[in-house]
Amino acid sequence: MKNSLNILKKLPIAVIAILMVSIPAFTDNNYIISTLVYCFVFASLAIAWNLIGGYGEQVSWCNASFVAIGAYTGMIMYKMLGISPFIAILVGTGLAFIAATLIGYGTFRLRGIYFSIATIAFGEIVRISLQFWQGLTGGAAGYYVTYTGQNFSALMFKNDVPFYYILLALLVIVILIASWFERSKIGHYLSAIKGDEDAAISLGIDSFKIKLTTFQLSAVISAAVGTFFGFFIGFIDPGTVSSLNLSVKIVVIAIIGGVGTIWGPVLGSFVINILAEGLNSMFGDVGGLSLAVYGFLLIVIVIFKPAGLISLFPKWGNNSKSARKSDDESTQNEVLP
Amino acid sequence: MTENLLEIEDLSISFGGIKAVRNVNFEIRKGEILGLIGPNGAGKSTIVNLISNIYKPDKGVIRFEGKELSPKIGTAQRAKMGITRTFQTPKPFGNLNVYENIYTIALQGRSSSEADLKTKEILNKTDLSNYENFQSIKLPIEKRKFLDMARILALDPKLIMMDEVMGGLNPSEMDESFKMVKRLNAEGITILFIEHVMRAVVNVCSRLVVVNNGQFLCSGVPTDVLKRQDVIEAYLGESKNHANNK
Repeated sequence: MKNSLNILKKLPIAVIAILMVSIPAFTDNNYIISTLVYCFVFASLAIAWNLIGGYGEQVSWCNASFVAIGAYTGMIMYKMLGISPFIAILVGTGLAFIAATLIGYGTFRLRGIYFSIATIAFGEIVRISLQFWQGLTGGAAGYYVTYTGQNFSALMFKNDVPFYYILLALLVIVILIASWFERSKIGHYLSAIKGDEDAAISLGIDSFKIKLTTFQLSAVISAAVGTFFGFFIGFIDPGTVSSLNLSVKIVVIAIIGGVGTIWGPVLGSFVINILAEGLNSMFGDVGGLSLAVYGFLLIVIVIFKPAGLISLFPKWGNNSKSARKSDDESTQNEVLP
Repeated sequence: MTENLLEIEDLSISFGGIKAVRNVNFEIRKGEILGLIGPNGAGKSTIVNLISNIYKPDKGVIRFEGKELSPKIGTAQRAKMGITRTFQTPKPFGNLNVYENIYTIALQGRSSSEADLKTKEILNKTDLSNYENFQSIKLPIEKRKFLDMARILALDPKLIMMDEVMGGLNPSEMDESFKMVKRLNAEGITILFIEHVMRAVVNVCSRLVVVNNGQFLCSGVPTDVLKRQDVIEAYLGESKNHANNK
């Protein structure tokens, strides 16, 4: 009986998974495939941000910089040295790990907004550096790889279907990592730190180490996604992959979907990306109108669903301890004995 | 002679021009309930913060189980060594329920199944079993204080510094808390009991240390200490002087 219930609970996930895998078989419309790839990419990036920003309430504004580190490292290593992005990804994630360590080491011992301020500063440093080192990065003009025929190890494909499956697989891996994280000791400790940092420290939890490790994990995932994202879009420039706008978009997706949950950022990514594309096709020819409507809808969602759209599906969102707020009446699941 | 669990020598700290703790010396013996009392602003909580390394002393030595505690040994590390504390205002992890509050701490050094067993054992011991799934922030004050204690028990502490745990409790809740403190002590946990409520001090402490104006005043068994003129003056000094002036 319990097994049957478990199967029933997992049924929606199985249906969605089968649907996602079979979509390319039903359409050869590259626009639809490409839009869904964007959904996968931003879902993965929002989940990565959510580890530190959602589960730990340490708001990072530089996750786009890790995307840029992954994207530029992959493309530069391929174009200059002929190294496959599957190998370059190790260097990109390594660099992101080092950057996250440097930021976190200097700020996680402090309380308050210092970490967030440092991430804004780091984001700007990366963006300006990418513009300044023209010889290596192409500067503001950007960096691209030329299509030289179908080549899996170089992530070169004649259409976006292979990217669809690669980034879908990557999203599944990122979801599994987040799911492991939520149940892991470090996930539990981070929830305690979010609940009351002083109490957590006085009860033996090394707050600095936990926050730093989580931020490193967030950076590594973002850089890994960035490497594939760079090859998917084929052309990168500091404004595309290293801007504060991109970092804000990642944060907005997680917030709209529901922070501190696994499925919130996934839902947020599909809603935001499809909404943006839909509005653009409807009002794109009227200057600024699509963005105005987009902004208005985001405000409406935040006002009426402050815990994110995932709260529409309580079984998928509310069982996450990190999604609960200390002052949230809805989380009181028992009356006083 | 009973072995000392913790020794404090010449402990001092100043905040700006204010000498909050001045050359304080005392020891906590293994297995005792030592009361640390004194009027408001005497430096009691500051001493607790120094022992748990929330503040770093300007000078002085703290020894635990005979070994000097370097200021480099942080609060979390000291907690893992068995030096634990509660806060004047309970600090539950408000986003977690009662079970999760304890389980999270019990996970340290244990597998998930061991942590689960430990959590259930503590829930029973602290009379919180009925509140297992209750959102911790919604607990009544007495139960929140019990939860603070329960989480500490998940660390298998050697020393618990209880900072005004009786504050805000009514007499019947206080009686429950006395029982809890005595029960923990009976299990071999040494307790430093920082308290204003004299009924609580007399009820649970085997020995008292009195501090006043950041300095050690005296120590001894509660019945003797509380009769001392200098202790009475420390507590009632202002009102006595005020009465004399009148």
